[in-house]
Amino acid sequence: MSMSDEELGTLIRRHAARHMPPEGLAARIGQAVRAEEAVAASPTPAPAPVRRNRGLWQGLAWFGTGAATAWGLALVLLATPVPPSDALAEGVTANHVRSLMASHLADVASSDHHAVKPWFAGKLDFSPPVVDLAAEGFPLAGGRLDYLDGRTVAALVYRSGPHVINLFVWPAADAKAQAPVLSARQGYQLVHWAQGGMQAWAVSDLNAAELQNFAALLRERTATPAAK
Amino acid sequence: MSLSTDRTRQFEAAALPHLDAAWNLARWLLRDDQLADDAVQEAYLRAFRFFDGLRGESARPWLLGIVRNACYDWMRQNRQLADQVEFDELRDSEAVSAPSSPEAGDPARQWEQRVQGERINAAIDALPPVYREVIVLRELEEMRYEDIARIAGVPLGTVMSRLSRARAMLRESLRDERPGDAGGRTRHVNV
Repeated sequence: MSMSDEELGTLIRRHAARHMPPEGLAARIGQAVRAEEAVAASPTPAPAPVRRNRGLWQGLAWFGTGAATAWGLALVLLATPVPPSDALAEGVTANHVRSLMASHLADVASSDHHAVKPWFAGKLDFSPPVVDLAAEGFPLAGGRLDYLDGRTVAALVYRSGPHVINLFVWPAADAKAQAPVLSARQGYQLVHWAQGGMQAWAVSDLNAAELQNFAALLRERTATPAAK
Repeated sequence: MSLSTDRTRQFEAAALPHLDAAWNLARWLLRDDQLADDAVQEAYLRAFRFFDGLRGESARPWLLGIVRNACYDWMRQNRQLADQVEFDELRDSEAVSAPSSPEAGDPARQWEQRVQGERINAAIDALPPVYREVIVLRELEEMRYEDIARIAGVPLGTVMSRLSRARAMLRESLRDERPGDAGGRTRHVNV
């Protein structure tokens, strides 16, 4: 009576449009990526591309500088296996600001933690604890993937009135629990702790007391020693 | 600096070959050139930020998953507008495929081909996004079920059931649009 899947597939492949990207899109993407890279790579203004050919010596000098920097970095990184939490705080703050700027707060926008938690499955090699704190005044707004500490991490978005809280979660290097530590950076409050094998960083423009309250509630709600 | 340029180059080498597929998916989901343009650009920037997370994974489903998310973000944020676009476009497509008498100068065959294409495009366009995307990814991009599941962020079983549902809807609408045109049907089967 009706056509088979194969016939339908053939029909679609033969007749349906396969839209082709406009000319120049690849070039525009390349430009955008480079611009992003320039912003991300250097807090100081990105050096203008060297247009004139200054010859071999300058190249060698740059290479030398790069090699020295890399060597220095390697020494620092090898000497301190745990990344300095200063750099981490920097990264957390930068991610928070970027998430607000790019109108890209959530990849999965939902206040239902039963929708947000499974969304991460298959995208991360760990399952972040997701709880809704709407009753406590911090409704869950969604989740997305973000990048911190050299790996992909879960970013959970909570709201408190007009304030946005980004909560970054990823597995801790060791299973040691760590009490919340509060810090501030560029006018944002940060609090980080470790619990149940996960480390968490919360960042927001909330005041310190409220953010600490948020952290305490979360710690309380995610403290399920039997679950993991 | 040379490190970061390497990263840019690696990203472009990994991601740009999939631009056609990315565009096709975005264009089918958003049904508008400008919107697709914005979504694809935004998705590539997102992908670039998470590029280091891509280790030993196939770039294609990874990237298309991000493109898909960017499209759905837009649809969520502009739900009402999107509905309207959907409605208008549906009507337009039907209006285009409505004339049934071929122009005298046009070879009938070519005309049939065009009408056929418009009919099928309109039928796919009319599917809800989750069904439209599985048809586009499976039939046009010829992707594996596992990859489609990754892109859509759903289990394999859901992909299979969406696909069969989508096919059923397509059959239905292709049959409905041409009541009594038995000749057309027979030809499809022989294609």
